Formats: sequence, C-alpha cells, structure tokens
Amino acid sequence: MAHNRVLQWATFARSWWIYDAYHQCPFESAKRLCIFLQGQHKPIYHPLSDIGDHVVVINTKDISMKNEYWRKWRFHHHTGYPGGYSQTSAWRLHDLDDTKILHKAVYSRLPGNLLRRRMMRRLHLFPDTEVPDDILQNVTDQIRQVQLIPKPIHKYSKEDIDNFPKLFDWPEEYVIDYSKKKKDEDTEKYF
Amino acid sequence: MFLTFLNFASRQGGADIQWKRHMYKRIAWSYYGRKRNCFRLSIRTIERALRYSTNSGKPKREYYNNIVKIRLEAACWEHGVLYDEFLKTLDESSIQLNRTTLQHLAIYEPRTFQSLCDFTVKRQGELGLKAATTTTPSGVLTRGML
Repeated sequence: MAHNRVLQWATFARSWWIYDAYHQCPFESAKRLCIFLQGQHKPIYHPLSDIGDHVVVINTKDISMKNEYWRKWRFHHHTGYPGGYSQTSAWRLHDLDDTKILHKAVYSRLPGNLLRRRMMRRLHLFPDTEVPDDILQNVTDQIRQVQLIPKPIHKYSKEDIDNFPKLFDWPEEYVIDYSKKKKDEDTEKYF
Repeated sequence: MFLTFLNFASRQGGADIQWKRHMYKRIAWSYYGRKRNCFRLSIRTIERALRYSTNSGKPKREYYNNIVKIRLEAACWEHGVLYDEFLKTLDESSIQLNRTTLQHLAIYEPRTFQSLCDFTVKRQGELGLKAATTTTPSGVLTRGML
C-alpha cells in the first residue's frame, strides 16, 4: 500500500465550482453558495477550519427578484461619520455594478468571523459568460440552480398555445390585455 | 459585647470546612494572581466559573450536534441520499449506529459510509420510495454552453 498516504489529499483539496445565476433569486442563491464557500458540503467540515471551495458565478447581470423587490429592496450603507447614512434601491445598485447585489447577499449570509473576507475572496463573480481561461480551466463541477427558469409565453409556439387544454373561451368583450382593448366610439364621444 | 470566641471559631473552622475549602482550591490551582491563593478572592471566580460551565452545557451540546448534522448532510449529499431518509431507513432496518459514529465513519471510513448509503438507496427502492427521494435535475449546465 505504497500510496495510501496520499489518498487523503483529495479530501483536503480545494475544488472549483461553477454556478449559473441566470434568472435566479440572489438571496436564495446566496444560501446555496455559502454552503460551498464554507465547506459545509464536506464531511470534514468545522466552522474554524478553512476548507471552503472556490465558486465561479456567471450571468450575474441576469439575476431575478420577486414581487416589487427591484424597486423596494434597499441596500444600506453608513460611512461611520455623522450624516454618513445612505440607502440605495436594488435596481440602482444593479445599474452601477452587475455583480454587487449577489456579492452583498453572500457577504451578509456568511458568518461574521475572521474567515469571512477569505471566503469572499474565493467567490468569483462575472456579469456574463465571459470568464478568463485561467479561472475556467480549474472548474470541475457545477452547483445546481435554486429555482426553475420559467418559460415565458412568447417562447411557446402558436400550436402549443392552441393545443393547450382549456375549458372555455373568454368572451370578446373581456379585456385581458388593456393595450389591445378596442376603442368604443360611444364612450369616446364624451371625452 | 464578647465576640472573640465567635471570631475565633469562624476563622479556625472545623475539619469539614477545611475540606470544603480544599475542594475549591483544587479548582483554583490554575488561576493567576491572588485569586489562586486567597480563598475569599478565589471563591468569587470559582462560583462564576461553575455557573458558566453549568449554563453552557446546553448551548455546547447544540453547537456540536449542529456540526455533526452538517457533516452528515454533506456526507449523504455526496452519495445522493437525503439526511432524514438516511437516518430513518437505518433506524427502521435496526442498524444501530448513532450520529456521532456515522460522522466518524464518513470521515475516516468513507467506503463504509458509502455502503450504508447504498443500502439506504436499495432499501428505499424495495419499499418503492426511490421515486419519492430522487429529484429531477434542473438547470444542468454543460461545457458546450460556455
């Protein structure tokens, strides 16, 4: 058993993962990314030992947020000086930097100990699929996405929509899309 | 008022009191400064230390149990088994290994742990639960897409 000594090297090796953030919630994604950054996916996990992996995240500019979060979710900042408080809405921060929202989501999710900065340095964020070769060649496996990407209605063909089983047809007067509403001449008169 | 006798009695103490003090001194042997030798000073620190050790029993247990849980979840995830299903199946099959032992197996004897995971998958297949435990992969990315 000459090589038994080196069998455990793979256990402590730092591997690289890739994650596609296309149409994914940044906060739900952060939960999953933190597991890999902290090394909670390894049986040798301990909160004080530095055994986290590298995570490469692509398509961060295409993250999605639910409900009104793009308008209403706010990121806070304080410089430490009097009057140094400021807050920014999510869409505005995303305009300034495509990777900032995911960065902040992961940073606030990680435990606030001395390992946090070191773990954040192993998180590589890219706004699109253009990743430098020296980073991409290390990647060995991928992290599964947290949510299913919904297929929008315009991606379905006409046949699929027509063949979709339905119980009844809407009456012609029923307004589904307001912009396509026919103008009623009788009511137009009064305006 | 004649208090000399009382003072004398309290300072001298009996054999029992001396033994009790000896008990505290055994705890204070590693302290620094006068609280190591002076009883009235050391008793303050000792009582606080004993209080801390009593109160920290539950949080300490929770902390270590949580680490064991995370490790076992990770070990199960490597073999595509769910943690809860894994423990439940082992319990129902009367494989009497506790979580600490399972965690040690996962770290030091990974092949043994893998065999337990394989057993779980097989057992769930026999019961017809395999379909319930496996999920369809979504968002799978291949190298050709980049």
